Amino acid sequence: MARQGDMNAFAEIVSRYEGKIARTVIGMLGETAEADDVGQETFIRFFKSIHSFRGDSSLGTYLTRIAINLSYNVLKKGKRTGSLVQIWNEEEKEMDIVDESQDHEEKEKGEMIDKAIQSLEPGFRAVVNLRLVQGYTTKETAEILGLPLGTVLSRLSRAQMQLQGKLKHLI
Amino acid sequence: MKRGKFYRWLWMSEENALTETRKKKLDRAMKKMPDLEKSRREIRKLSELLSERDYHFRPGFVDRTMNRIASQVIQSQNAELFPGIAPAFKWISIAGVAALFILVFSFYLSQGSLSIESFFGTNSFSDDNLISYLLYQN
Repeated sequence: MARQGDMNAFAEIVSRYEGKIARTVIGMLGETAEADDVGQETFIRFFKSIHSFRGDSSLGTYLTRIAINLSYNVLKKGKRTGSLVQIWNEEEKEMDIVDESQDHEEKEKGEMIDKAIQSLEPGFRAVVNLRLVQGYTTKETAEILGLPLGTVLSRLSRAQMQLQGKLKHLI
Repeated sequence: MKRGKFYRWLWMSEENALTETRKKKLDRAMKKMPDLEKSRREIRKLSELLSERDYHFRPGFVDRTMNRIASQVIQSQNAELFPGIAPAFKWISIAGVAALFILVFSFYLSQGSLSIESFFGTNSFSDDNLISYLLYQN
């Protein structure tokens, strides 16, 4: 149905995979305006190339691969500045303040983890995001990133050491 | 080097993706190297910690995406409906520039100059001619 340009069916796909793509691009770029843009671009690319999707991998994996590649492009172009540009609007900020009072400790912990992930090199960050945040297996991570299994394992071990140093009070 | 290999195998063992032989080798190594056991605990804790992270786009992500797709579809439909416009415009522009060039060249050949006076046909006018012309008009 989506292949015939049915916009409603495609909107359903976007809705279904929005969370997965958010975990990928926000995990790679942080909560920035670029992340939202890359998220949209991921689905636009898929829409344009929907006829070439042969179903060799699951749709989620296919979209994740597009999202990772687009995130890499943004990082390579140096579009991203060091600081995270918050994109929440005022209303959301207010909601966030309520959350903060409710679960301040959890939020702080989450921010610490995000900061530690963001401090990793993009290649390590991608591996950590796919394997540890999203729960792909090491083999699937290697396939998505187009890397040998040994490279993924090596990056995981090195990233683990770096993260342990940064999150030692949480581990 | 061997140590590094066992650290990497720890990740595979967490997914039950090690062969029986490697699994046995890792078990033996873990008995000899206590920091491998420590590393396994850290991997588990790190996995647990990071798997809790969840990220979301701003509300309205689906609408924003679908609007962008819709506008791109309209653009491509326009291009399909009027496919000859862009090439036609290119050829009209080239023909126009060529015609202008021929006009200027022929003008140069007939007048021998490209000055403003020769363009308006006033290059043979002297001040006296102009004054007598104006006097005659009055």
